[in-house]
Amino acid sequence: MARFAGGKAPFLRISDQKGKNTNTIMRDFLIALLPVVLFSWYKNGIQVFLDGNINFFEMLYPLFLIIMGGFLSVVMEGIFFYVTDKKNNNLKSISHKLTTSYAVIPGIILALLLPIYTPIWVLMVATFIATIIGKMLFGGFGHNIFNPALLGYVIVGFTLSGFITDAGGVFNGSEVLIDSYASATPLGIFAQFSNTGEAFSFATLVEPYGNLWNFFIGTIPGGLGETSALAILIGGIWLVARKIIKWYTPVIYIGTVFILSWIIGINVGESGIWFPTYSILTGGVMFAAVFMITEPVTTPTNPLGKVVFALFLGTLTVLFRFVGNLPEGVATSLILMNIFAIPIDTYSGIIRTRGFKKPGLSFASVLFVIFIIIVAYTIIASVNMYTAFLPIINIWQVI
Amino acid sequence: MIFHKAKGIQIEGKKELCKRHPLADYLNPDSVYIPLVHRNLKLEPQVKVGDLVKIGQVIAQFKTYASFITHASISGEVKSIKKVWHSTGKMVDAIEIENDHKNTLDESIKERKNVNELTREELIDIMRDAGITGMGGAGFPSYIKYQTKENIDTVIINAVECEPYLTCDYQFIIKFPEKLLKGATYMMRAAGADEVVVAYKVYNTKIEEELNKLTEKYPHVKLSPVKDIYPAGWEKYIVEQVTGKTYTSLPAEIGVIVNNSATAIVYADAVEKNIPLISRPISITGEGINDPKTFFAPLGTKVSELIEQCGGYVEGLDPMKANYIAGGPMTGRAIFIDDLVMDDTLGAVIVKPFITWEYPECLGCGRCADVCPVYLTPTEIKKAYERKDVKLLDYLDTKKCMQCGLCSYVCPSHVEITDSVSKGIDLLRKGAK
Amino acid sequence: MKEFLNKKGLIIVLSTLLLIVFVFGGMYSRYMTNQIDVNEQNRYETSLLELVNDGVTLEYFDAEGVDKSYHTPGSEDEYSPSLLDSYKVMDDSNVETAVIYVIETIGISAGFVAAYAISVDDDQLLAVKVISHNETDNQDNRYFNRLNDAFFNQFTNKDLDVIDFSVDTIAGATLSSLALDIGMKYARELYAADYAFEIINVILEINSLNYNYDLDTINEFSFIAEITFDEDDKTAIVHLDTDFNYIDTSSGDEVTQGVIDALPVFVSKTHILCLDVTIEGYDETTRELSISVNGYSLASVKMIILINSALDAVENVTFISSDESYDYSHGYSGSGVPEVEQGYIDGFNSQGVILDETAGATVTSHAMGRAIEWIKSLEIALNGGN
Repeated sequence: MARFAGGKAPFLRISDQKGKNTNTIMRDFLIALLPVVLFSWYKNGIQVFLDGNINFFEMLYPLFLIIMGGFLSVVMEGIFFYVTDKKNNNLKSISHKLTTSYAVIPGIILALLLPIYTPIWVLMVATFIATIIGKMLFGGFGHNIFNPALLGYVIVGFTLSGFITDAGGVFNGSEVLIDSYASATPLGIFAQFSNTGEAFSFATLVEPYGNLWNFFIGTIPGGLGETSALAILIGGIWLVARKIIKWYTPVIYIGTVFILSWIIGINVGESGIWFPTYSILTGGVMFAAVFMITEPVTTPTNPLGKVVFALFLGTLTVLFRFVGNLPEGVATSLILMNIFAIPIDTYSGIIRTRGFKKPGLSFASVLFVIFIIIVAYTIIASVNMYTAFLPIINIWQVI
Repeated sequence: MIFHKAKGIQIEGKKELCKRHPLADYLNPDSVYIPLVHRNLKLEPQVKVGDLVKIGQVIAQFKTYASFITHASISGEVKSIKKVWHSTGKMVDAIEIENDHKNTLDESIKERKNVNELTREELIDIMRDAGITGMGGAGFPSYIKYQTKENIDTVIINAVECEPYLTCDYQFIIKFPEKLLKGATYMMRAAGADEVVVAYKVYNTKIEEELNKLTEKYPHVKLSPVKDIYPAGWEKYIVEQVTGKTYTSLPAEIGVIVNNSATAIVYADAVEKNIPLISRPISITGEGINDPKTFFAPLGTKVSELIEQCGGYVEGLDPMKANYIAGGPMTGRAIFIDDLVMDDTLGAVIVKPFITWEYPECLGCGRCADVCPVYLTPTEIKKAYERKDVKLLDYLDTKKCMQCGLCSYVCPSHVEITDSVSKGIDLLRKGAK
Repeated sequence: MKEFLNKKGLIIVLSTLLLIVFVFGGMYSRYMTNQIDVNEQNRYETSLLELVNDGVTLEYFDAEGVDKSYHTPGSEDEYSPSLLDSYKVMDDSNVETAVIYVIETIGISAGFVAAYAISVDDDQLLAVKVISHNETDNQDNRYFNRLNDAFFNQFTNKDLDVIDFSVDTIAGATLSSLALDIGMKYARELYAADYAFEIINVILEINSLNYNYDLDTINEFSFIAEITFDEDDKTAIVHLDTDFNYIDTSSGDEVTQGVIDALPVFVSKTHILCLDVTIEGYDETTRELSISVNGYSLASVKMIILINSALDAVENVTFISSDESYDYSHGYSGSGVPEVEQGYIDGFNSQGVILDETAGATVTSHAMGRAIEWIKSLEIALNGGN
């Protein structure tokens, strides 16, 4: 009589088959980042080198930066595991922990978000914030509330951006030579218009950078990986084909930004289709749509939740961008929505199971009402962009 | 809607393992152990140690709020009442009968003459007295279904067998196609319905062939192939596929009764020859078995004997790196010691080596929610269970779960999520009380 | 190795990796050229090269540096302009043709940075270029924009070896003009230090300056000046013509050529004497002395003074011609030219008095008043001769 191992039903698991488990998902995620990495290297390194504006070693820097992003976060997590778990701090158990921690992905995404002339020490600070504070202190992979890479990016963006600018900023060696770039990224120009209250137009927003096709290809100034919609789309199609992400999450997010931008454009007298197109092709909307809002840990799990999340996020992005005067509204709105991913997940789980019956109805109506309020506020406020917050201040005073 | 579309998924069948051999008879084991437990009810033994029993003799029964009778599956002497491993994963008392190899039949087993004149009540009584239960795995006494007051118009014979590895229903049908149709007809009459539908998987063309040969004789029987997905054998799914209607708790609400195909075959014998439920088909399969086969064996047979008939375990099988599963691989139970006895619900024993790897944390990919056939959100239920949040468990409709195991099956991080959900159901039941 | 890694070695290895990345990655980051800076430097250097026509390349060099203080415009304080950059400009055959000094001076506010290009061959200021300034008053470059082309043209091809090395300021942008003026002077000092160029430096003081009222010599020289010159305080009385050019020395030490060259500039800048009246000539036979006086334009009113036969008094004054017109400002209600002039002359001829100024013709009135005063001084001088 043999004694057999125990186990829990079901005894068949997809994950036990080769190439169908979380490791594969993460590998596919890395593969999806490959076109983006290559394009950013091409745009910021090879092309500039071919133009003769930088030397060979400078050409390798974008690639070095991206690889270092991944490498540093792995090393930092290794140290974290060593320090926090004194009993199992040998090579074997730490490398086991590292294989199921997938540290390399936030590091690489973080590097892709940063401008080309980011000094290594700034990258180190960002990686530290991302992996240690954003991920490990929350309990490691699967427990983090904020998207680690995004947290690192946002905090470094608010605190250390001066050092990046001092070191050279976002322009690569060829872009600085173009006078019309006017020392600002496309959305930076938009922010200038927001600040001064002048009307914007195709000629002022898009033409300095060529045409919208350039925005699609990605030959505009910006962070390393966020500019090329084309490369991001290739990665996104790969992820959808591999069933890693749901196609509707990015589509709904981009669609929300597109439609709201369109409405706002019409309201302020820019009815051209170029304006919403410009709006979705700048400021990392595409990058966030494919690589950030589909990031499984920090976004809702169930399909309805993903839809709700994308809708809210798109609205908040537009709100922050046009009303709140934060040109890079994507990162901030995403960090904010990361917090709300948990209640949205629960609410949408209830709605999905129960349908529009009690108690699902109450949760659904709460979500719906909040959504309608945000959308309405965004549209109304952005018509008169600069006095948007006055009514709120007035209400405070009355109360 | 895109976010509300769970339709089950196709699972690699692995049924060819067991289809290499036809249904093999193993009717004369040296001794059998009839468990004194059915589902979680204790049965009262009706015999004493030393008694001689005949095939079909009532040896244990349970009569409190429902009636359930167990019969001797072989003739011989009652040797003892001792503990054996049961498919529920526990050790239970069982009546040991030593075979005298005479195959003496009980007096009650005889050809029934007035088969076509039996009333509905008589048919239900036969079903109860023969101890017929759902042989798909639930083990629910079938006659209770037929005592419904609802107006039944369709009886569905479930020959889908959606669990991987299992072929016992399939091979049973191939061997006794006419019995299936007869049993289905009697069930239709017992239910007072006017239609009977046999549902099977669309790729099982052999069932279709065999049954089509006989449909002229049984014009009221309809064939209904269903898609090759898991859990296509789920009652709700079949009912929806066949009638297009859905129900909330019991199929009788919409005038449907669903019965397993093996039950129908056994019922045909019970009606015509008054043979009670004393034997059933069982698949002994899995990668750990040398030569997997499906047996037709008396209840109470030791599975180890059947495994020996299959040539034992494959060479070099490390039992500590293998599961010994009673039932299907999706819903079955791991047994720690291969000292299991067959009962009426055990359709298969699977011996399957497994691999372990570094399981990561749940990454929240949402595949479990995608595949859930009842639109639950297993990750949320798991979180609610870990927080012991009974209210949230109720909001999340946890009790709708039928533990098909798909969420754990698709999980890329090997999270025991089905287990958490079942614990959540237990908590909800306790909390509700 | 594995043993080592399983003990404290692992943390050492990981920390070392981090350190290596920090050090070598940091070096790599340092190695990356700041393209914005490079590009801005390129644009800057290109704009500097545009100052010099045949300039091809720029070559940075360390200037000697000069410590020299100037008045801060609009205040009594003194400050030293600061040299920011100095470049040698090479032509296509790599021969140095010019030098460019980038100097920060003070205009309305500090931070007036301009580049001054000086030709090495000709010792000429070639051109200036304002690089950055703070001459704004929140709205636009209101003051700075008054510096027109005519103002900047004063700087082109300006010889360095002139005694009066300065430019005319622009009304309404005086402080900004002075910023460039001081910068230019400072650039000349720097150039002199770097290239052994000698700035003309004459020590000369005009102690007194007087019209020559002596009718015998009035045709030879118009002014008599008493000067102190050179380091050892030599003194002399010199005679000057109407343009303050040196004629001869009447007494005192011998005057050096440098002083002779510098006299016109120095005299024209003194404010000892009102120099509005110019002696045109004296005819001994008719006893007629022609003079002109500056009104709105130079020497605009001409008149003839008839001296009496005894040569000790003015017999009368005759009006000759006038370029004045009185409609420069409103308020004048009399007849046209030369009513005002004639009125003053008549007033002198009849009563020997100076009239009050005429409303609406103030400038002309002042000019005429000065002319009559001059004539009175002449009369006193003639009487004194007796």
